[in-house]
Amino acid sequence: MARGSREYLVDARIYGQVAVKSFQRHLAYRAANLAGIATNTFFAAIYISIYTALFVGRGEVGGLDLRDTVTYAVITQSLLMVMSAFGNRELSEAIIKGDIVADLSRPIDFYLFWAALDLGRAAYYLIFRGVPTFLSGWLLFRARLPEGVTTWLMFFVAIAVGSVISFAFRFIPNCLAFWTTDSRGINYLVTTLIMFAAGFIVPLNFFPPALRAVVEWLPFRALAHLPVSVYLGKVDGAALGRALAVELGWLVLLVLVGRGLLSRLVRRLSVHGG
Amino acid sequence: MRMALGHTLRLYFRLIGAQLRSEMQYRASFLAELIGNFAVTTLDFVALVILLNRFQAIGGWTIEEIVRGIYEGNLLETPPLTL
Repeated sequence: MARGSREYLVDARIYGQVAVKSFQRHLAYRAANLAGIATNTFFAAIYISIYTALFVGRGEVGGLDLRDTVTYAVITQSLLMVMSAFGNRELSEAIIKGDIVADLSRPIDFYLFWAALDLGRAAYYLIFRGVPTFLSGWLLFRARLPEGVTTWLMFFVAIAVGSVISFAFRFIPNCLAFWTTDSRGINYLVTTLIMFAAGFIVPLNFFPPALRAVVEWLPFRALAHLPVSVYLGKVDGAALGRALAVELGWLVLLVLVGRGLLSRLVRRLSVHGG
Repeated sequence: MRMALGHTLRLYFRLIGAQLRSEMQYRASFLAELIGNFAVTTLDFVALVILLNRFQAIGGWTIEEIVRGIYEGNLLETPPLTL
């Protein structure tokens, strides 16, 4: 079916609206967000205490000095919720409860609909969780600021790429809930994998070289290590281009697998016996 | 008092049993959670090994002393922390 560019424009507007509504829905939980900012800042303080003790008598380790590492802790805590590092069971719950039947009957693309929902959520967390956590970390622990406007810009590009990779990856285990009929276990595994391989727990800079080489080829790096490295000016120019190309390759693969799984699910799905 | 405690304990174990049965309803998920729990505990330790491999010691403790002091709970044989 050939479609004109005007129809695509209408489509884009619909997904934009979905993202905006998702953003607005998250605005309702103000107290929870305040508690979250306090928690993220508190965990930054814990990590920073550990690194301060580790760096005693040392200059640079794995290309980071103490102040870089303090900044790393502040930024990763600010990005935790943006990147859904703890997983997100919204889609799998909708599958289990059967709510996706309503979503599937809408005359829009199911995958893009959920992508829009998730990116609206990410935008909310970037502004209302990431920025305040970053500001408090910057004031309390003297985190570094980027070198210039270009670095700021590239940092936000890296965050956008990370958010999309995060969605495309999580879509796959979320879909598996259709076969396992419960999502707690898978979500637990996914969370563990993301936290470790993205560099949320230990900066990838401190990994042994062989292990670091492996995790730097995986997609998860885009969720934490890559944005922080861009922010600190450790990855730019050709190296950044290479990293983004790798992520783009992963994105294509993740979208293909996610969509393939979705079409299998829809074929297996039966509603009211039909 | 003693009866109340016994009653509470029995109730407690019954609830644990019920929880276990409820989780066993979803075999695949239960298995994934089991593996996940195991992975979290293991990766916590792996994170320590990675850090101490790079930095050698924290507050005067090496990885051996962390294992002895925290994982085995033997604080008598570990040196005092120097923070």
